[in-house]
Amino acid sequence: MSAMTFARPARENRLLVIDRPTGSWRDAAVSDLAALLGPGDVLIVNDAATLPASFHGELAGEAIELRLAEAPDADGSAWTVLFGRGSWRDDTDLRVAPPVPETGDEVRIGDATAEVVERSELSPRLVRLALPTGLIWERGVPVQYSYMEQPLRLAEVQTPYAGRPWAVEMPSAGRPLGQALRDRLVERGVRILPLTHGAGLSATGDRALDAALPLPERYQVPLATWAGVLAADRVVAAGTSVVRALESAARGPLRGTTTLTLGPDTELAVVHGLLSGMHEPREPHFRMMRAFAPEPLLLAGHRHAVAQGYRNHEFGDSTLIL
Amino acid sequence: MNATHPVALVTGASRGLGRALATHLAERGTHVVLVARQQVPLDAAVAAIRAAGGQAWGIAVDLGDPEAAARITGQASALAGPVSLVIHNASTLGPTPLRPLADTTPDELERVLQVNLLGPFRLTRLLVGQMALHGGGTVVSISSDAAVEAYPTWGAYSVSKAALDHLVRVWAEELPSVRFLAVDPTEMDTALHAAALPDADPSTLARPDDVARRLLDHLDGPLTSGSRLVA
Repeated sequence: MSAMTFARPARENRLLVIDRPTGSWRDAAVSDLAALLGPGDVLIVNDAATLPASFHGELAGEAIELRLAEAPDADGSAWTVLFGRGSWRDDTDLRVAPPVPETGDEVRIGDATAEVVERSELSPRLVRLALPTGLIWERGVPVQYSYMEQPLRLAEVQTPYAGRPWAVEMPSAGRPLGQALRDRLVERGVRILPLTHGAGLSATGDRALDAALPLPERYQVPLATWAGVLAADRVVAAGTSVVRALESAARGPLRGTTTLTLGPDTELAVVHGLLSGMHEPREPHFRMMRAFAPEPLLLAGHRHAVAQGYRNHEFGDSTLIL
Repeated sequence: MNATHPVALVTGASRGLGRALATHLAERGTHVVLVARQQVPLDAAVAAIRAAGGQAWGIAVDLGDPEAAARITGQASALAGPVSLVIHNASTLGPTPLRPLADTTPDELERVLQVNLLGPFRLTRLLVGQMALHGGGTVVSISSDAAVEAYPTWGAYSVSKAALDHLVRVWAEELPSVRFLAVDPTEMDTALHAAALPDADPSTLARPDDVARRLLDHLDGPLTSGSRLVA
């Protein structure tokens, strides 16, 4: 699975099914999901809409890119990651560093300015910015991915049931769950229930920041969804953001900001299965998947996927771990 | 963000029927997001609703812009909360004075379809997934008797409205948990009507305010999804 460039998928998306009890894997299509789940299963989806979270700006006379790390507060401020000059066509890891901001500095975004109100101890590139109201909707574009051929439009980074704009990158595990597939799942007796989780940035190109990902994220689990989780025989999460929200709810309140991290040592309290994208072993997502299956099984599945030409990234194929 | 109040999105809301609908919805306790192309009349409509004690926000965009829909739905949700009612009211007649199809260019027809058909479609598909997941919602498309009757010189407009009516019926078949309705508001005393038929006597036309009130009364009643009514 090299970082190839490609346009929007033309063929049907594939599904790598990893079966934990037998330690095996097999090939399927995403449309087979309805046959793989059934009565007693609940599929929990993250209904956060994706924000136009990327901006071009200027700091200390230099062109920079800004990416929101979270949805802005009611007062318009948000933790934001600064990137050096360059465009979405450049790999995040290869971007030059931006100028180092100081508290009180002003970032120019078009005709507007946003003040740096705080600098994170994690990295000088993570700052809290006071953004003018409405600016993100006027000037922002979705966070882009260097492997795409064309820039993504805001409507293209929405899941098929997106609501509140809390995510700064698309909760992409849910992207294949279109109306037809959801209808088939419901016909099979699967309950589909929503929660909202403010999925953060997948990568920052900053070693210290990447090591700290995911940053604290906001979540809300509706009471009806939580009741459905408790009543289910098996809970399948569409995406690691759903796992983070549900496992946080199992350990604390149904809504709040979570610092829970998922990894091989996580004892899952409520989630049994995971629908996710395809992830490289070096990605933070792969580490989160280790909460669901032992590393050797995941690595074997990954080698199989590479050999079979599965596509990774936000618009690629999917993995189901049961 | 307040989940206890219903939230409505009304397009073409700076004047005419759209403004009347937004005003009456706000009077009935609904939080309203008004969408219109022109900032100044939009701001005036929002200010008037707020002055009367209602909750309202404005988003100034052109619905013919394919990029607009996701910005509208995202911003509306951020400002007011989950949208449970959308009223597709914005319309363009196309070039005026109205002209025969033979004198209408393909570009002119395409522009009318962008605003009157693709605009509502783009918004609807970004809203109904959320509505279905959260137990329902209502999508109202403002139509016209020109969607049913073939009037000379109304070609571009009437084709767009006929297609919009049919979208309503297919949506209703596909998504039973969401209510879809087409509404013919009859001939009203609006800027659109004056542009189409400048010689009409305004006293013979319905008042947008009365139509808005009747339409909202209908919405409170039991209506079969996919139906078309005359307000």
